[in-house]
Amino acid sequence: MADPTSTAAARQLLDLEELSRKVKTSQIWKSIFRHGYEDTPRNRSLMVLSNVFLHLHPVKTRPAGLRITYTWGLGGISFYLFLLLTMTGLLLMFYYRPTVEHAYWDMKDLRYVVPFGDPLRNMHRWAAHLMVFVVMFHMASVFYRGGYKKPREYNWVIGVILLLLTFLLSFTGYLLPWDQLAIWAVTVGTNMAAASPILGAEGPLSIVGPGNDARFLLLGGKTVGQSALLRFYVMHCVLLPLAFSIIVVIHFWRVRKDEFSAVPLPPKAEREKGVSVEEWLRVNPKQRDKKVFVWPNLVAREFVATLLVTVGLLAWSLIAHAPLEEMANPNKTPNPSKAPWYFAGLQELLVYFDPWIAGVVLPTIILIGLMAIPYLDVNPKGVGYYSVKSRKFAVTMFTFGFGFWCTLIAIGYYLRGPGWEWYWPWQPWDIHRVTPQGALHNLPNWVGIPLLLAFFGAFVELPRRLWKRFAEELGPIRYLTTMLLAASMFLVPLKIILRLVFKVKYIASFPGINLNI
Amino acid sequence: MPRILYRLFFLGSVGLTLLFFVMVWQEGAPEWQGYQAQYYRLLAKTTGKPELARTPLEVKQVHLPEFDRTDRCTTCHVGVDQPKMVNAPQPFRTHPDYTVHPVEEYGCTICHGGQGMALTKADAHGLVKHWERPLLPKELIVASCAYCHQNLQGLKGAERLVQAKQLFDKAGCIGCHALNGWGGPISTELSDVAGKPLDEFDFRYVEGPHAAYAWLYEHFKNPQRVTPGDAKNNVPPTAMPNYRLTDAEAMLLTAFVLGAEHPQVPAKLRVAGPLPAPAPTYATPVEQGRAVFQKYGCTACHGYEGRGGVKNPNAMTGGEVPPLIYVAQGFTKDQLKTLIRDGRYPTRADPHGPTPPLWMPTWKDKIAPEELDALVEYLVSLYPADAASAGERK
Amino acid sequence: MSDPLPAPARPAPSIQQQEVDQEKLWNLWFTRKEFFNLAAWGAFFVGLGGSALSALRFFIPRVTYEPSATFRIGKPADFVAGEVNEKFKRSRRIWVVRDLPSDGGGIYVLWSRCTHLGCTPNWMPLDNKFKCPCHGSGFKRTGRNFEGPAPRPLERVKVALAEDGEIVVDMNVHFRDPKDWKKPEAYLTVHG
Repeated sequence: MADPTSTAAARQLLDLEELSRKVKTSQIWKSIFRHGYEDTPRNRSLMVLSNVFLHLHPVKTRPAGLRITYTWGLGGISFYLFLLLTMTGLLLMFYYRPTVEHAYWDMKDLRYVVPFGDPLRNMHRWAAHLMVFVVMFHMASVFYRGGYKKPREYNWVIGVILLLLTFLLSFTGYLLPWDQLAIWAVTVGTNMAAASPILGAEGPLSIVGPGNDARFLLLGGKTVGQSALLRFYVMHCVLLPLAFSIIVVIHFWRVRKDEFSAVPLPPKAEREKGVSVEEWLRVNPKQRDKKVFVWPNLVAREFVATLLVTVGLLAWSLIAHAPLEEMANPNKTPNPSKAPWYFAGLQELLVYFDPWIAGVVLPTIILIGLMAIPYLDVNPKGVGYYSVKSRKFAVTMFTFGFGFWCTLIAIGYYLRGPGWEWYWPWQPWDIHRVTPQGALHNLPNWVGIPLLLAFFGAFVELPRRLWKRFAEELGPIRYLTTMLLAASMFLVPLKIILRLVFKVKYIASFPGINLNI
Repeated sequence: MPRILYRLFFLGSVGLTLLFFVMVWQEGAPEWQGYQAQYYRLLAKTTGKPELARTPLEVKQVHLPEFDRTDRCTTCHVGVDQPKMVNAPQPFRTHPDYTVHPVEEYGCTICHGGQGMALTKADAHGLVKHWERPLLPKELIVASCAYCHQNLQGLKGAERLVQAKQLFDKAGCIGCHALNGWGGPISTELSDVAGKPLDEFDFRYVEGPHAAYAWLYEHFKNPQRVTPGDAKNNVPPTAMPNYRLTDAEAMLLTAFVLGAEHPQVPAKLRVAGPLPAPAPTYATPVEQGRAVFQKYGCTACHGYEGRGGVKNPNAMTGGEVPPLIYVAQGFTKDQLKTLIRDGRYPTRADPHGPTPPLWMPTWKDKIAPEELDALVEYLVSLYPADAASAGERK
Repeated sequence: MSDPLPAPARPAPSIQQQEVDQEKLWNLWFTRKEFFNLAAWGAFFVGLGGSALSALRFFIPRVTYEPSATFRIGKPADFVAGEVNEKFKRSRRIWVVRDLPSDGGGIYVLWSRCTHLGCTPNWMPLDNKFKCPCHGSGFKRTGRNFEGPAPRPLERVKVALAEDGEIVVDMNVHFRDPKDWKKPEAYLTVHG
């Protein structure tokens, strides 16, 4: 070391570069940061490989998957929203007490007295709604690009489970503000549990009473009261987020293990010649190996997406207040009483079907049907890119189902008013308006049952004859399952038409066991 | 990496920062701080103590678990119990007689209504969606006295409620409407009205704000306008006559109905009144009969002193409730007594028309026998020496 | 799981062979090791299953803090045939109606809540109907709506006879559809 009094030596001490070098080669530093940050391919790899959070990603990925139009970032946004909800929810937990005496007033306090409580609560609510919306469209996006086909079937099933968990998280959270919207939406929702077959006190073939049926288990009582609030709180804050986290980890793991599905598309010239994607890839196998670094390409896009979602949510939270109606009053049912919007479709179906069908059977069939899709779809085309031409049947079926689901939600949410009467958006609500039912009649069973059998039979027999190859490719079990599920899906709008046009209430009815279709 | 990414990053980051500033600004400069600061400046000037102007600003609240509420009105209305502010403009003025019901014990909303927990003027005054009890207009605050004070006679400040009760008795409202379970069966129970959820009121024809007091006031002024019925939905028009009340009278009656509600008031806060006065004595049976006529609200349907004039659409009795001044001519005393005891339904003028909304209720379980005797004496005495026209009051 | 060893050819069994023969003594299709293994896993899953069932049962409390919806209203003899009894109208918001013997002679309980907007109707014995003072809805004594804006009949609530002969009303169970009114829970048949 030179003489510290000389200016050269002083400059040496203050030499930031030297200081920096000394720090960065120290033991402490090297124990924490195990690689440099200069932009080299090695460091790009290590950024992902040696970071516990980032190593969720692969080191390299195909550029086709980077395009926003491939995934619209929906999966990543869903997860980000989950994290945002966890964080905002955690903060809200410091002021919210899940008791009947305090819950509503704590919500008011969050709005008026807690610093930043109002935008925080708003963000939590709007992010929750956004997450339900985004996961549904994430599912659609994965469907339309075939990201569920072999070998990714199980991950699709995991995804459906996550969809269900998202609905449940939103539903349990819906009760917590303890206002009129909350208590009656949950009443409508849990009444569907009471309508379950066998395990519901008011369902067909019931073996339990109102004191120990599925609804009692959910609510811890016969009414939506203090027990329900506490249970929903624990489920919403602990049980369901834990379950969601565990399963989402499996979901990510599977995406990595099965490799992200995006494939490079053939150039326009080849596509115009009519060359299919799979053919082109078979001829040019090296195209599959063309990859780019995830750091920074993918991570930067994820970061920007996260940023934009946050900006949008924050802006919306500052403009629009999340709803808080009058305090929950078990003696006063608002008219209309609506379930949360993502269940409004099922509530709309209550007009045409008994509660056990609209609230239990149909959702179950929908979930089972969704989970079965990867195992029923043997068409190898359309994996990793969007295509309608090469998957006409699959796309048609899904689009119809998804479109119908969204339509039902729109009707239930926007076009139904007091008494669940039909109201166009420009019509004012009139609590006195009651449309008389008109003469609804039931089809006698000797007509209805054969009709149902004929309907299902037609769905099974006719396609087999008209599109022989389609049936043969699927094989008997898959074909039967697919057509029965498709028949069930089309039975719903058909029954609606039967009721609206022909005034038929039940196709077949067995009032003794409370079973009516 | 594509340029759009950098642009979006820039926009996003700038946007986020801007929004944070907006959020901090919203939180950092709330409405109430302006009012409070203004108050302290005014207080400093009024008291001549300039250091008061620098009093730190904070949210002030009164937490009242026994009333199940927390009132933060004093955050802006800081001067309610500051005697030096009697001449200050609102919201800083001293509350009159603030020592009678101190703010720390009673809060504000129990008498005034409003959303006590809120901290903006609009929300706190409560004329917002999903808040059922907005701030009461000045003339109606007196209604709240009735929540705790069971006897209002001689209660300073509650004179108007006493006046209201007198008007209520004179008009005979009890003949059609029940009050606390006692009264006529023709129309609604009045103690349930003020506490009804707002979506059970029909505000279509109400010009004022969507609040219970506005509906009540306008209904008193013109029942036909506010409750005209709805033929399409089988709701008949109101049978309540238009009493041509003045604005002041309508306010009194509105206060009376608002005060008839039974909020949950802790027992220790209830103020019982003195024992009721002994039953009055009457010089003649006719005088007693007049008191009975008043007591059971016969005036409501049969008109003041039985002169009739109250409409009863599609009733065979000329579309009106029959006047009583001629009963001495048409009935014996025993017939009258039977009629009053058993009640009667009017026959329809047009058999296919609507049911007449008013009828003679069954009084046998309500009127005591000696009251009935006196009442009949009074009715018989109504036969006029001169033929006064029906329907004229006073 | 290994098959039992084939029978040895040696005439004189060694010690190991004796052990194997011991195991084969019972002529069973699993070894002792396998048996204990199986028993252990079996016990584990039984324990796990039991825990799961216990957890499920945990969520069903034996008693709740909800206000009681059942109460007694006296004996059938307290109610006169052909009459609408208003004794419990204010306290419990119900009418107790007893049919004349010619109409069935039974007792049913009506909820005193108008099906239009929830007001409390009045019973008019002279007109033999329930009349709601709010918007004029009219109901026959059976509860059927026949005039005014009410969309459906008055609801009946569950009635039952306790062992000591008293009538027990359960406000938790409502019968809205006239088709259900003949059910024994909605209509208490009384003899004598």
